[in-house]
Amino acid sequence: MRRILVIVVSLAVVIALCGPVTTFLYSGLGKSPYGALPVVSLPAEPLPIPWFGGEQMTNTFFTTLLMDALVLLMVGLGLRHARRGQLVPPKGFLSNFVEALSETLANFAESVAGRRGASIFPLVATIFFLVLVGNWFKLLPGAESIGFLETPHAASVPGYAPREIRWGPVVFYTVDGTQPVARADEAEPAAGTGHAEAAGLCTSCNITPVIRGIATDLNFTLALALITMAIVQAYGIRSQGGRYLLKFFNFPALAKGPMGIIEFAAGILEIISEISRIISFAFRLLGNIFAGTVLIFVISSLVPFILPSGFYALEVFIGLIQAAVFALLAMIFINMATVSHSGEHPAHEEPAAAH
Amino acid sequence: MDLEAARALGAGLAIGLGAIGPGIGIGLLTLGALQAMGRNPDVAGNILTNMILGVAFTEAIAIYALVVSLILMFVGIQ
Repeated sequence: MRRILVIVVSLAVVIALCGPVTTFLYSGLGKSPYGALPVVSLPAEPLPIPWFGGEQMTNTFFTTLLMDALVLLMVGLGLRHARRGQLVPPKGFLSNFVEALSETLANFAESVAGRRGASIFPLVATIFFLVLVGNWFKLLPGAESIGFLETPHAASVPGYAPREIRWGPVVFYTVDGTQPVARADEAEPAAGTGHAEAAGLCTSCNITPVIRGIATDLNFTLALALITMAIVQAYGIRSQGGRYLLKFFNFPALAKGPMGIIEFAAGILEIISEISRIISFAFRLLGNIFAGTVLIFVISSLVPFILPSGFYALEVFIGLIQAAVFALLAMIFINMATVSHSGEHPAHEEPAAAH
Repeated sequence: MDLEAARALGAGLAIGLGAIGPGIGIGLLTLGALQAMGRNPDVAGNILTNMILGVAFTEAIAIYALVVSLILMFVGIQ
């Protein structure tokens, strides 16, 4: 636990120290010559990369694939000492980092679920590492800012004149924040034409980032929530058999007379409670991470001077906390499903009024 | 008032008013949990689990408000 705290605090300090450095890169206080309003878009933006069946790959999906590879790499490298049977890994940031986080999570799984903790841990740890890496990766420089120059996909997004930057033989394109260009209604379709080389084609441009935080896409968080709640039901049925379904369809209670009808209705309410858990799982992660992204956009365009780095440090904490909350809740729900509540006091042991 | 202004106002009010109740609720929950932990540190782990569960259910209400305001802002209503 203390090791994680040290890692997170030192990460936050490093990021906070980055503030003065980036500040000198700006030529004017609050008036960066290239400063344009960033695109705030809730749906994932399509990239001009071909994908199955003519569909366009979205930037969050591309980032998710990247994060999958990164998690596999990180855990693979981090665990290679453990697999060799070395109890004390040699000095190395990655090994210690993965080990510290896994150990904390495993201890918590054991304290929540007792002996069953070992069987819950792998799934929960997978979710935790994917969400954590996704949340932290989007804070790196270049993420959510480097991308393709394109005509904005939505009519409400402002477009700017393209601008060329030459560093020797290398040519970059960016948008000129001082020259907003109204979007022509008969602009070319957004598909595929907006690559940087073809920048001459778009008159009213904006940047579609290649890498965008995976949790800012509802598709990712909802998929994670659906998987988690499906696994909760699977664990419940595995540990209790058919009796688990009595939690939802309490037919035996009907035989008890008038009071049984209330118990039956409470069972039906359990179904609604399960569905609302999917929604709150999905939107808790989406809301926190998306709000963090918008917060950094807004702060960076208001005060591009030291202040944003403080918010970046805050986002490091929020990224960890949200990943931990998702994992802990999954753990708690799985444990609640595996423990039978219909034993001694069926009426009193219901979790009081979930929603 | 035109439609855009009404939407922005509605979205702001939805999340702003919707966050009041859960804010108070999470504060009360954490207050109770921390007092319980201070009184009996041995069961702090157990209390923490239940507190996170309670906070998650309370937070869900703020999330409904967030959903409404996201829909207002980003999903066009014709």
